[in-house]
Formats: sequence, C-alpha cells, structure tokens
Amino acid sequence: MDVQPRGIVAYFRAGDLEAILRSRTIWLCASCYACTVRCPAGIKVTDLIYALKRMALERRIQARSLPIYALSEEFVRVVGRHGRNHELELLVRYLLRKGPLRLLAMAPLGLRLIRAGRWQWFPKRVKDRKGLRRIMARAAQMEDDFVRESAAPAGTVGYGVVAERAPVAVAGGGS
Amino acid sequence: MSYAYYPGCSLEGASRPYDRSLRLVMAALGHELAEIPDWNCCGATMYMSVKETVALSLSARNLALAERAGQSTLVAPCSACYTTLLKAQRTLSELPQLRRQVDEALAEAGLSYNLTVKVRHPLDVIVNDIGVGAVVRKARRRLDGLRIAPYYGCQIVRPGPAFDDPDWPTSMDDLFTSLGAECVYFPDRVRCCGGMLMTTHPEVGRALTRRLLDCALRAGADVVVTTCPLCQINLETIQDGGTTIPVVFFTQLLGLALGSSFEEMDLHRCLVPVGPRLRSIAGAA
Repeated sequence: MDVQPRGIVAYFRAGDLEAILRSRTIWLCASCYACTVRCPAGIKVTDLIYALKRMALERRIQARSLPIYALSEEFVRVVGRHGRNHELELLVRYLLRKGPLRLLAMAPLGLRLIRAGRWQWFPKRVKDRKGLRRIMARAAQMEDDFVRESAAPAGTVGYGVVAERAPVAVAGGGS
Repeated sequence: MSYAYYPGCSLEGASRPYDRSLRLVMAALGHELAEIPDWNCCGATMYMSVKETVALSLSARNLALAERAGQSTLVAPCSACYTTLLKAQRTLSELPQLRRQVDEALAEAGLSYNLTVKVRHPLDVIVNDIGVGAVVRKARRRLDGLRIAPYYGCQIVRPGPAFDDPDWPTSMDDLFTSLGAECVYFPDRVRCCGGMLMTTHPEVGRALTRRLLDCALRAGADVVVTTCPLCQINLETIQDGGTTIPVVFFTQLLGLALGSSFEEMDLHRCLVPVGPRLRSIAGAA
C-alpha cells in the first residue's frame, strides 16, 4: 500500500485526485471496512475507494496491469455466463492468465479439496439467464449514460466530482 | 418460522459443509430455510467496484425473488453475500434515484422489488431471534473442555450498523460458552483474513492469515470457529506443516451440540483434521 487510507482522504481534500488514481492502494483494498468503522469523521472510506476504482477504470489509469483487474474481469465473465460464480472456473481462468506455473502450484490444494468432497466440477447455472442478462444490460446502460452525462471537464478534481459519481459513498447510511 | 435462504456460490463449492450444517442446525431448532428459487450471484465486491448500478441490480434480483416467494427475512451465511445484499437493501431504501434505476432494470425480467425483505446473518437469527436459551435447551451434547477461538471476520459486523459490536463482537462467545466451550482470548476476532488478496497478492494474503492463526495458537485454542467461507478456506489452506489448528464453521460445531453426528457435520471434510478433544465430544452422544 503506497498511500494509507488517511492519505487518500488527504489527497482528496488537497484536490489531487490524480495521485490517488495512480496509487496501488485502491486496488489492494480487501473490503474489510475497518477504515470506514474507525474514521472519526464518518467518511465511508471503502465506498469512496470503490468509487475511485470506477473512476480509474473509466479514465484507463493503471488498473489493467494489476492482478485484481484480471480477477475482476474473469469474475464478471464467469457470472455473466452462468449467473453464479464457479470457484473452479474462476480460479483456472485467472491462473492461466497469470501463468500456467501458478496453476500447477495450486494442484495439490485442488487434490486435497477433491479428496475432501469439497469440489464442484460443473457450475450450477441460473435458469432464467436471459432475464438476468437483460437486467444487467439495462443497468449497465443506465450507468454508462449517467457517467457520460456527469463526466467532469478535464482537470476538474475534488469531492464534487466523486459525490456526483458515487451516490452510495456519499449518502447517509447505505454502506 | 420460515426464512428465505440464500446459500451463495461458495456454499455450492468448497464450503459445502457450511450449507449442510446450517440446514441441519435450523431444522434441529425447528425453523425452515426455504432456498430462494433461481437465485443469482450477489455480485460480491467485484461488481460494486466496477459498476454500481449493475451490482445493486444483481443483489436486488435476489431480494425481489425472496419477496415474490412471500418471505420477509432473507438469511445469507456467506459474509460477503451478507454484506453485499444488506448494502443493496439499505441503499435501495435510502436512495430513490438508484432505486428507480434498479426497478427499471428488474422490469426487464418482469420483476419488481418493494423493499419488504430484511437481510440477516444466521448467527444473528440464531442468537437474537431463536435465542441462546432455546439453543441450550435443545442441545444434546455439551462442548465442555473445548477451547475455541471465535473468529468473526470483517464483513458480518462491518460497516454496520450491525447486530453486534464492530470491534469486539460477542454473539459467538455467548452461544458457545453457554454450551460449555471456553472462548480463548482472541483479539484478532474481527481482523481481515486478506480475502481475495490470497489469490491476487499471495504474499500479502498469507501474512494477514498467518497472523490470525498465530493469535489463535498462542491463546491455546483447539479450533478456530468462523462464519465466513473465504476466511475458512484461507485459514485452512495456508497451513502446510508446523503446528496446525483446525478451522470449522460455527454451524458445524453448533450442529454437533444439537445432536448431529461428526459425519453429518462434515467434520471429516476439514483439510486440517480436527483434534482429539472435538472428536471425543462428537463420540459422546
């Protein structure tokens, strides 16, 4: 973590969004919400980080080279296909991207899980996948429209931009 | 009472013992878990950090299906599903603008959601609805002499407002000490296990998880008891050699106390074998 969570908030207040979007910190967040609970000022740091991740993706900053990007992308792909996650498929797809050696290194664990009967070879799929995909497509379209309409002019920084782009991070409760 | 049941994807895979033991526990306590028909992935944090409206719509479909099935309470055992679904429930009640968008998306599949479903964790339901007293009355085995490290993980008590304290929750302590077990001093009870970092940055994930195991071992625990599939598998899989400690779901231990067998509770499916004390309790039906 190159910038601590309180550093993120400090950069924020200083209006340097670029510095945050370029940091690795937002991509290392494991969503444990410890900072959100501890913050004496009641800042919803985790939700803020989610919003910053979305902004970094939209601006195509850095994320693509990080492991979490590959994992998210594969996760979205697997859930898009089946409607549910399939642990085995997700892990295999991710590790293949990261190099077959990693996959090989995981084999002993796989064998232990198979022996323990804790292994799902094939995904269980949602029956109404068509309906689910229509829901997701509509939601994605609305979000894209929203992003386009609220796109801040180049060089604009600060809380206002995020507030508009991240209703959940800014609203009372909701986290 | 009948609860809508949302198992979540992990409980169909490596965390099957959680699913099986929870169903048996609720049946032993006289309550019904009705699996939500055709539920989908909750979206986890993966979607929330990529597309907020899509993430909320994924969760909302499950809430809508539970509502359509006539249920008012949804039980989600996986911490990540629980926190994600709860967030959707709260966000949709608080932000009309997002709710309108999500409604529009749900309508694409002929669904709607009218905000009537409450998302609960089974630990909350068992301790606060059913009650520790009722559990003790129905118990068929005592857990006397068993030393447990109660590990709550992050997402069942955070970000809150939650059913227990975000820094020092005690529901599991109350439950298991009432059944005769001893809860060791375990200050890391809500510290993050690293979650998906075990996959994306293994060195970081391993360090975070190792710390938790050391904390439990130092306190002299026989077993770590957890409420989350990801915590459970992280804590189990980094143990290769050295002093080991088994990691079980709270429902596996609770089911044992309620009279289920060692095999029914899938305790033989632990990757780190459970120790003699737990075995002798299981044999003493």
